[in-house]
Amino acid sequence: MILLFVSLPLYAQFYYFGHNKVQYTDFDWQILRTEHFDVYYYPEMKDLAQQGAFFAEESYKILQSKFNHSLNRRVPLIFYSSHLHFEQTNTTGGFIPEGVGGFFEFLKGRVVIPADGSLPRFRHVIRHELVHVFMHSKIDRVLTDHRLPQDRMPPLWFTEGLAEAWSTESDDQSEMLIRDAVLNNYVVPLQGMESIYGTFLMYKEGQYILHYIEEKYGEDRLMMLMENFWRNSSFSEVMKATIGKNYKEFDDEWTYAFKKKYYPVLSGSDYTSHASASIVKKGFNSKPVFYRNGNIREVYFIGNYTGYTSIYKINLDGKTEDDLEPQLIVEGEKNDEFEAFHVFQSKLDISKDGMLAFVTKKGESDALHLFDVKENTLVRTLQFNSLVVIASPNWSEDGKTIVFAGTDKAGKMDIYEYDIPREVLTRLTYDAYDDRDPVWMPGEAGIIFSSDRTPYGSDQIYNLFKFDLATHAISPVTIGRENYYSPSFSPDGKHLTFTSNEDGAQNIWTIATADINAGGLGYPMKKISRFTNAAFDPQWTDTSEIIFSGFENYSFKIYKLSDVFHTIDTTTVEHRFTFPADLATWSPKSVAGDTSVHFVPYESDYSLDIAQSQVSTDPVFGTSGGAAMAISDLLGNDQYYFLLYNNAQSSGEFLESFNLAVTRVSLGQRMNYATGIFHFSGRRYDLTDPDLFYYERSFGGYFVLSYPLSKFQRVEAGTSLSNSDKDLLYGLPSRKALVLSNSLSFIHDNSLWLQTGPIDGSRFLFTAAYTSDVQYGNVGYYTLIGDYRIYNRLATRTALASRFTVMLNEGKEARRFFMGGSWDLRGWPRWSIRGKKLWIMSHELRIPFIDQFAIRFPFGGIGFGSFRGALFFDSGSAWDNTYHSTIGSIGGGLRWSLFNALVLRYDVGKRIFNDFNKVQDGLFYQFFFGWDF
Amino acid sequence: MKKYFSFKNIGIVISLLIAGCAGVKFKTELTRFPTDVIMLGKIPARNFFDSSYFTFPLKQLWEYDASSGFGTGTPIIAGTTMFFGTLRGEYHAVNVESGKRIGYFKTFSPVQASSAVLHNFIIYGTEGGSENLFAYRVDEGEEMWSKDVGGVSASPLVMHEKLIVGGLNDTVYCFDQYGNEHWKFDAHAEIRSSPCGDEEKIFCASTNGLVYALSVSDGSLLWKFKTGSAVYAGLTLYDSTLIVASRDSSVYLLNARSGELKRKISVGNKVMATPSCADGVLYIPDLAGSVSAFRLENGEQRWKFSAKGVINTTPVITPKAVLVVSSDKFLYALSPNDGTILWKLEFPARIKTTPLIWKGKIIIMSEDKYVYCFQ
Repeated sequence: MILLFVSLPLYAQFYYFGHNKVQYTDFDWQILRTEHFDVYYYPEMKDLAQQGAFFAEESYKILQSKFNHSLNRRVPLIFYSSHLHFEQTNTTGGFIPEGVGGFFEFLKGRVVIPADGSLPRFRHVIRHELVHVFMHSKIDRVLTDHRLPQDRMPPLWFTEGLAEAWSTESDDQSEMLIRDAVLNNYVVPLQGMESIYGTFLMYKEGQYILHYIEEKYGEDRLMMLMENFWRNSSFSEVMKATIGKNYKEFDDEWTYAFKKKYYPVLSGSDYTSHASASIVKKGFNSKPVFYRNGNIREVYFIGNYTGYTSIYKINLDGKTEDDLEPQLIVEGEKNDEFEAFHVFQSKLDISKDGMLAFVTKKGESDALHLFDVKENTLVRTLQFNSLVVIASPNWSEDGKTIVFAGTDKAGKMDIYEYDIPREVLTRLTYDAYDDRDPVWMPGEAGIIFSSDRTPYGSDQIYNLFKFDLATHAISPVTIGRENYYSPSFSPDGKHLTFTSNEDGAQNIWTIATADINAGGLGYPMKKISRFTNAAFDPQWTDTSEIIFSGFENYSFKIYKLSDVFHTIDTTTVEHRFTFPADLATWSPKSVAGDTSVHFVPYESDYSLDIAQSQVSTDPVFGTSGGAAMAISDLLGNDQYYFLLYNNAQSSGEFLESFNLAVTRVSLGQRMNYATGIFHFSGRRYDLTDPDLFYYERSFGGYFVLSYPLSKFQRVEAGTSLSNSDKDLLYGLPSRKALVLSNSLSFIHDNSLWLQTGPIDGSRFLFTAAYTSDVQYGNVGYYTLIGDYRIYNRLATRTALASRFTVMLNEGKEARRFFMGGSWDLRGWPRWSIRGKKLWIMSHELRIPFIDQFAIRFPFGGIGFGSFRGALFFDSGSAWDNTYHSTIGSIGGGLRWSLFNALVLRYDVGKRIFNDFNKVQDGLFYQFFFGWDF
Repeated sequence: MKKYFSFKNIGIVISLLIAGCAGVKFKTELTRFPTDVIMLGKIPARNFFDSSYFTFPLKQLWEYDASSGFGTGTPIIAGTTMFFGTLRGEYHAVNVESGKRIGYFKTFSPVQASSAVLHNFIIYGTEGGSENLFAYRVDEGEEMWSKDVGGVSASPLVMHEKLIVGGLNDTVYCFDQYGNEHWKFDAHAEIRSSPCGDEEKIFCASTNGLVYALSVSDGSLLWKFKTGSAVYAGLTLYDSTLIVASRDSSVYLLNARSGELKRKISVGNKVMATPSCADGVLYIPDLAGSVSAFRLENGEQRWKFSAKGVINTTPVITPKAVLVVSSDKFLYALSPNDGTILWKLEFPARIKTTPLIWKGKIIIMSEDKYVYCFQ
């Protein structure tokens, strides 16, 4: 921050890349106060906020009993009605991936949670995060009571495992993953948990391990693991004190118990890869859909092989290697049009005339895209003002109407119909239930969809329903405490297939369409597949085949089942539904009408984010002391930064040596801005001129605007005005100036990163600025900066990166740029090459080197993470008025990522001089830190 | 100018710092009076009734900075000296009249439970350490013996001049004042529930949910009873009824002679603290923050009081008020008749230790690391 303020006149030279967190929506925040919570919401989602508040209070009562602990402060709960709104939050600076269902931020004690259309899942996530709140408070209390430093928490497998164990019973996904891990031998014992740190597998293993402890050792043992936390800094020893077994001893026990539980599954079912044909064997794949393109039978699906999620196709009958290689159809996550795919949420569909319908995030909300696969062109993109989220489009037989699931701003997920020729959107369902996966029935008499509207729905149980288009009546197609998802009809329309976990694993089942049409009080469903793992999104081809995505060995692939009609005719595994005459449903609970809750408008309530002070001594600048502090409001929209330090070297200088800066950053709207004032004085050393020492007193203010055009592009503008009074110390005259600096920048960045730097995409920056002394005329120069970086992917983890940078400062008292060192012109002393004009070009081959480096000792182990390698060639030059020569370097190096927070770099190579006519005799060795360019 | 930084003064400061780190042992006569509180609950039945009459509002007499959190055990009192351990691993002696410290020493492991007075010994247990049951001779100012019972989380019981203590090594022990072991009983699970007793039997429960009646003379098993979950709450004896609160959200009323179930009261929430009982009324605290009063004879609920925080302490019964403390930071005085609040007082922090009543004074230990005395 000091650097930022000191270099204000140089603002035009201060640039950076990075994706944008765009505040598309202007949220009108309100507060709902309950007994224990302050619920932050916006008016469109008031009902949802009241339902969430009920879930929070309900959870509080349950958790205070489980933890034997009460919270002694109110908990802020910040709700969003959809994940897309949640992604705009400023409560965390980072980007929120689609898989993040909410988080607890312990610095301000905030809980931030989006809804996703499902109230039971909303309740689950609220309770999950409140487990974190309680645990944090409980552990803090245990350590405080024992007068121990509050500098540690239980390991992540325990904290996340407990949050899941105490917020939900085992669910489909958990069961699928653990069963798969046991049957495919990738269960990770507690002793090796760091190898899957932060993964979904770690969360679910933690949950299952803690359920096992509850069942085997008693439900009180989980509470005692926290009560005993003071006993040892090693959680393994805390377990020893609580259940009598440390990690090693317990690993032997629970892994064996899990094998005993799951191995028998194999007696009646098979791995997906053994019982069906794999048609896409690499990467992550989901949501397949079939299309006959002339004589070619094609499967379109969502895949991820490079880090970017995109739509691919494959020849279903392909024989050659080329045929079996997925072809990229729509490249996602690189541009504004297809910003992000919802890989688990939204299916694809394709009409008879080859119009592929799919959904991506586009700006503020989802967009429904219509893509002609024959012409390979995007035909139309639809966005609806009333809808934030769109999912799983399905074409009518005539290709004129699409049904899909959508979430409105209130957070309700319902079924919609869109008439394309008439451009009319019709809402077919409108209630609190989570309706998804709609498909047209043959003849378009109705729509089958999956919903949690049965009495079991409050436990996150989904069944299939029929929506009658004539009467708008909704009737059940399945009924049970199992989950039924992803309906689709056979090409002849006689069979409705779907997934169900009726007998454990999620398999493919079918019901005769005639039975559905006949109605009545019961009919059977037949089991088509007998997989040990899980099948998703079954879709028929044009024959007796079903394609689906299957989860096996910790990956999702596309598989094909053949002779399905024969299987339906011969299968003996049936389950018969019996429908009650009058199917009841469940009613969402809410604090609405509760007189103890209060509604108040949101007012910024600022609290401390960080504060630190220090005294430093420098051989050149002497001793200085100061403090920095940052505060922000609860939503993180408004942030203030304060800097105060004094660098007086004698008592007489004390008053005039106060350095003060105050900055306000406003992020609550799409146009972000920062404004601030400053006063700096003291002895300076000009980095751009090694001989220049001076005393400067400057004060002024500045204003910076940043407008994101999309996630990948933004425009920035800044202006600063500062009064600068320089006394040059050694033989040079003093200088006064009132410096006005204006700048304008355009920034593009769609790069994809690995641990040490970008691997794919491109980055571009252009800046123009003018800096002048508006009072004395002592300063007047313009600045132009162009910086283009492109990353050409050669393989999954190999890329050729190139950088082309030009910088110009021209005019009176124009500042110098500088380069040299590990970040730009390698092999040359850091910042040793200076000039008012500068160019640099770099090419670097980035390759994987060592993925995991760990040393195991008898008493434990230590991991060093991954190392990557690089081969580079740099060239460039810097000059003031006369171009001297081109210099460069060539060599190779290693990059070591430390916890994804810091990269250490070591380069070896040779410098190149004199317009590339001379090469260094020996080698240079350079060690530094920093990301790859 | 006054000279502060003499070598002498620096030496004194260093000496005080070193002495402070090492702890200061206290040495005082252990006078005994009928009003002494020689163990948790004062009497072996541990029904938490005290005949003191209070007039509200109470007036604070003193406060004592223990600089540590407290466990579940209340202090004990012998003469005018109050003894208690802390979770920081220190043992304090405080003049209960003035709140002045008499002395303290380090126990090197947290003290969770109440201590006990046995003859001239203070018996205290620690949760950890290779040895965790200690006899401290007050008039000598020295530790006289120590034992390993796996750690102590339940408050020991003094009966017939013997000490009964349940250990975290799943065993119930009977020691005399010299540390001689008279018998032991394997309970097959940790003992975190403070035992109680009558003339012939002691009653204990373990975290496997079993309740045992043992002969006080030889530790032989007289009967046992299985509850639905772990028992953390201490046991209470009222007339011939043994009251057992289990984490299965139920309170079991057992025939103390036979172990037969007389009645099971469903509380609806987990109970971690000992219920109290007087005049045929049972007061059950629960982790939902409620205290419920039930008639012992028919299980009928008389009233229910709800605080705004967990109650993991025992309601203390007096003739005119039931005193309840909660994690919501309040001390409540409730009407025994209908549970209405007669008076309440907010503390700076949560209260997780049962109040102690001694000679008309109420002693409260709060999470803010202070001990408060009111009259």
